[in-house]
Amino acid sequence: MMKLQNKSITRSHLKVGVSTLIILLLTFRVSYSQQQPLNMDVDFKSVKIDEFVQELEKKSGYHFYYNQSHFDSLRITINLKGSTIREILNEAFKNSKYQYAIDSESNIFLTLNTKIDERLPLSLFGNFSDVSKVASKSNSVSITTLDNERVIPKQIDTKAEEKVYEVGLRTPSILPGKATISGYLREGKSGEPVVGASIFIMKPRLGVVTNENGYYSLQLPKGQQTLMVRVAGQREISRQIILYSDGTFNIDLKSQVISLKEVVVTRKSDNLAATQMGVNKINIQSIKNVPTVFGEADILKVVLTLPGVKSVGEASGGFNVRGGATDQNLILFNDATIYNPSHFFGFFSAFNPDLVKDVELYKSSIPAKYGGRLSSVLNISGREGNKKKFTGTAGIGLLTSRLNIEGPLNKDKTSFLLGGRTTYSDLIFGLMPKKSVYRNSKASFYDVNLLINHKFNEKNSVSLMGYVSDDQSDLGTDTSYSYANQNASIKWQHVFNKKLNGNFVIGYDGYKYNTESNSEYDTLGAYNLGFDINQVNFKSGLTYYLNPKHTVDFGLNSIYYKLHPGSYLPKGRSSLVTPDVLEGEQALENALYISDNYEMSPSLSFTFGVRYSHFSNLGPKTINSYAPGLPKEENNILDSTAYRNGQVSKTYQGPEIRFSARYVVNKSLSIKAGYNSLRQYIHLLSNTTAISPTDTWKLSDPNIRPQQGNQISLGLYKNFDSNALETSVEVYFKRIKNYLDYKSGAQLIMNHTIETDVINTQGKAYGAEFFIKKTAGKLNGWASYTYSRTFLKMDDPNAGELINGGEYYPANFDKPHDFTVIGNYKLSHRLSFSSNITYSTGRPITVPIGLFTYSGSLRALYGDRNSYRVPDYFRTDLSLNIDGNHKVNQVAHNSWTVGVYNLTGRKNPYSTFFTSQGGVVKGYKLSIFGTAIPFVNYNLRF
Amino acid sequence: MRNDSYRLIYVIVMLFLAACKERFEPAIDTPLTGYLVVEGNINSGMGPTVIKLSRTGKLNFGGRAENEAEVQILGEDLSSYALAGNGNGVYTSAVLNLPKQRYQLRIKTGGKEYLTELLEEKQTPPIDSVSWQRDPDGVRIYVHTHDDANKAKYYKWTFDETWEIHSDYFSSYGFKTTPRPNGRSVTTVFKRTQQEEEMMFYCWKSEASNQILLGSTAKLAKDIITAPVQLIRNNDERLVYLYSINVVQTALDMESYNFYKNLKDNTESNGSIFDRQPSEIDGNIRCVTDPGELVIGNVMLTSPQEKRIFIYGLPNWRNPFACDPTILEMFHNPDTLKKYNGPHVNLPMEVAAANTPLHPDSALKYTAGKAPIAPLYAVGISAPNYIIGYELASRRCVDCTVRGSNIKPLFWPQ
Repeated sequence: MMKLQNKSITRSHLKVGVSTLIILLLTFRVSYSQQQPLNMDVDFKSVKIDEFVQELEKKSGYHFYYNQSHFDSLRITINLKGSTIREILNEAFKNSKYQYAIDSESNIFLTLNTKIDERLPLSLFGNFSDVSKVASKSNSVSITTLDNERVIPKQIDTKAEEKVYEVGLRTPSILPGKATISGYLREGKSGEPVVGASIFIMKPRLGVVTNENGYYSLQLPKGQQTLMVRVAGQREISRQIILYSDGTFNIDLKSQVISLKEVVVTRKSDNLAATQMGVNKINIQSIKNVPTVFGEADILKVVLTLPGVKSVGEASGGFNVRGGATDQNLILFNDATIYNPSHFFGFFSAFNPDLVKDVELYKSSIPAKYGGRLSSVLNISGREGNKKKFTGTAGIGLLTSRLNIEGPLNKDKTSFLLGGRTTYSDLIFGLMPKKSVYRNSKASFYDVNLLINHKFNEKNSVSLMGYVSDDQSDLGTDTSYSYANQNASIKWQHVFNKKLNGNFVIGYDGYKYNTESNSEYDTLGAYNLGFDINQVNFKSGLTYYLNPKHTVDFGLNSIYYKLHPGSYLPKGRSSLVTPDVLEGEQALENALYISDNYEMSPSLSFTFGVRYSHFSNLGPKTINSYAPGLPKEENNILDSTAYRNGQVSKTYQGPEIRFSARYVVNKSLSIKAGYNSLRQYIHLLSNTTAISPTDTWKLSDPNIRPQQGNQISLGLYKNFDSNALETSVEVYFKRIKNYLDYKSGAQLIMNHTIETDVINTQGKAYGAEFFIKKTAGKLNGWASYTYSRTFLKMDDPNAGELINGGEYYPANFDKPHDFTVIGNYKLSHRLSFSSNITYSTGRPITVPIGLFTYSGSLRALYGDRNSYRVPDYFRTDLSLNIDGNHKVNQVAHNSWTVGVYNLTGRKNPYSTFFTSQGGVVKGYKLSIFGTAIPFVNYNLRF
Repeated sequence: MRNDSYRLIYVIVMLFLAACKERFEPAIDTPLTGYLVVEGNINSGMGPTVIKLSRTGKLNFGGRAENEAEVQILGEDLSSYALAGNGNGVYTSAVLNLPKQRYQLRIKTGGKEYLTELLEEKQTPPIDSVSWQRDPDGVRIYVHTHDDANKAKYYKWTFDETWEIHSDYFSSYGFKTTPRPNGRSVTTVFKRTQQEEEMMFYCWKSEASNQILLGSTAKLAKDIITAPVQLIRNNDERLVYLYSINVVQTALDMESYNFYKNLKDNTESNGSIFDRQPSEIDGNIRCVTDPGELVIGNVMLTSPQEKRIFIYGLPNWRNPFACDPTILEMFHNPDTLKKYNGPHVNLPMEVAAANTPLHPDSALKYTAGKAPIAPLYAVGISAPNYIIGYELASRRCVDCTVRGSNIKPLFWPQ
């Protein structure tokens, strides 16, 4: 890529470059032409500078750059024969204050007072070439002028890091004060924005993080600065700049071709410096390196390996963050809310790994721009299409295949990315033995993503996103299940000025499911059960770079919900099912937020945010009111009110506080603390342990209060070995209010008075998370140990029978000890081993404490809820990643992943159950993957 | 639906040949709970009221019958009817044909009093029909019912099955052991009557349903329902000769339906990935003396409806019953034969045979597990034949009472 012919490249510089595993380089072109001294004859008599320059340009082929106003008073008289350009210029400017400089591309720069160091490749400086073009056109723009004291001492070097870039309109000298530098940080190869990278200077310590568009804006003292760029999981890079005035400085990063699959997991690249805590960021490469069952790279399964994240079991679609319920996670995929993030009822996650760039999990310091869920935000960022050329990837696994293509629609301006994934398990069922009742079963899923990006100019870009996922299954039962996510959004990114930029998103998010009976004998009762939730949302988020100490984020989020909580319709002509359609639900949720990141001193910074959320349940809807102080039961209904279309039946509102603080003790140690409060107005109705395919969502209404949570946390971060080893300890305490639980025998589907079957539960959770991560070297990965407890309490006086007598009891996912190691060892550039080791305490279960006889059989009498535990969980997975050769110019690159899931074959119990069979009670434990499962995956990149 | 989910997961699991279900018997030190369990309904029609009382027991022992209780049906008009216990926890009333009004059940036991609310009668519509259908898995039996008044809505079914079983061989002889004054005993072989032979050849087995079968038409425009009650897998012994099923239908009110649904979810339809938390089981009986005490059970005022059908042995239905088919030959000791049997003994052949004692070794060896089925003759050329031994078959093959009862049910066709 770089054509370097400069003789002054030294050996040592090259060495530095190669030894960096992933080298990020600025894309730039350098071509030094060898200038032969040219001898000319000149004869000027008291000519103005213009005439002098024109004559010389004509004769020599050199280009002159200068500020005309500086030369107004100059008259040149010289007569020379057979002289070089330097001899002519020396003579012309003899005894004057004028200076000149000649670069390797035959450009001559005329300056007043200050001499430019010719060793610099002047014409190649950042925006300089643009400026020089302007200069030659208008002949009016100033050219480089530097203080003598500030002559750049660097030698010319191949590395972008040692170049000097000028930003802003040149001034003859560095003016005092500050200026704003802003621009985009992008991948050089694909043009994709680099999100969440830190851009900062060391003295004084000022910095900023690139936003989701890769944009940054930073106010710095004018003059020469070393701008440091730290990208997740990569070594810091730097840029030398000279800041004259407010200006744009785009940075293109280029990863070197030989870059290997690097395991990079960071809890924020700058785990020490960021104010936020409880954030984990994983890039897709790390996700792909974690072995999973069937070899499918699985985002959610990797999220489960992070400290503080648990689930009830291997096949479970949901996850629990720091004691929160599965419905308390806001799952965003390119800004779209995904209501059901899994395929096959939890066996796979619904995100195509080839289209994902990285995943961020906020479990403590949730930025004020996010809201609506109590426990966490899982922000999955998709990649952008390649703006430069058409490429694609394909993968073939045991159960699914995927194909993705991307490329420019309009080079450097518009790109697209289209990806799809499907299963062929129908085929596998077909291969089952003829006798099997499942032979004719059907189960399939697919997901499709489309992303189109268009950049109008440096200040405006638009992206269009579409996502569909669909699951169908009919597995030997007479019921078929289907569910689907549908999302679409349009996003406009706009830079108002150097200090203010914003994002505006309008989107639609939908989720629906459908269950149909296909019973042959019961055609009279054949039904079709449907549910859907739709939301239209508008999000605006603006960032204002007030000054180096303050970065202010503010915005407005609005969501309009429309739910169809259930419809139960006859299926087929002979069906006698009475059509039953639950009244729709509507609501409007608005939230205004503002947060300020205040860098009080280099060591102390705060983020203070407030999000004011406002939720209105809207008609048309008939709402029952219940006698106060009595249990919400149908016979305690006092009245029911029919609300008109759009009429507000109930409003809930309140501020949510998001506060965090960081104190840097020294270069490798920092302390953080945070307090968060959140509100949630939408609830998942589920009384199963795992998320089930027929769970529905419910909006808060006059009878269902919003859930509230708050969390206080404290963390200690220490890096060793120049940040190659990051360690942290975080402790937290959390309370949850008004989480929904259910009465005995609650009917959640097609319930016209659901409020009579739900009970408010209170929760508390606390824990300590220990995390150690090695980012560099042949062996890298992370290990985490979590001690955490989660307790729930049902003390609603109107609940009737109280669970465990109204005392605290452990939640289903309360697993006090949890230990995970993810490791990757590179044997060579093409061969690496990955492993995943997980241990956790068995999850709590409710077990029988006695037996009784009823309806002809012995039956189990259950004791206190969750008073016993299944045996401990332990699993080891191993995979070997084999890359094809790394030749740059071959048509396609391929790679293989082979491995074994649950290497030790331990029968980890997922659940236990006690069932009455043939008159007696038998206890069983069910393991999902009770043996070692080998897998193989083939991937192709073209 | 959850049950289906379970199957679904089971399939996925089968598919990957990875999952497994293992027995799990945690060693839990359980308290002696001893909660009262009440099962049964007050019969509002032409039948006795039967109430079973028991107590919950430890995990390893199961429940125990509650005797010595005082059980009464109390009418709204302060009438009362006592139920008599049978010493096995079963309390039965006379056929009361109760006047139409509300009733409640009162139980006094262990120094405490338990009471239901005053119960409204729930009319149970008659069963329209019980049908069966053969499919690849076996024979499925369905119940069909409807309620013209559209009031029943919730149904519960139980059933009793009875089927005929046959021995493999008629056993024409039997062993008879007679004690002797000297303290020893002597074993002889006797000839059975035809009636005795048949009593060992034709038997009947009965089983009661042990699963909770529920149905609901609450979501239908008409109160009409078809529900599967039983699946008899291919080549089950039930359908070899003659089978009968008596389906008993009870209409439930919604509360009772929820009670049984809950009980079923807790104790039968579990084991899926989408399992619900086990929930509280109580019912509609309260302890008056100690309101906090858990009482399990649901009592209704209703009269059950029944329907019986018969299914004759099906073609291509293999009898799964297999006993050891070996026929042994047992010969009398020659000395014994000389003394008691043979052409020289001037007695009818059968009488002489019946007088012939077995050698003590043979008696020890064969009487326990075997039964004589046919005589072995010494065929004389000039003299008459006489019995010198017997063919023996395993007792299971000849005596159906080992497997069932030889008392023919009253409803059984002649």
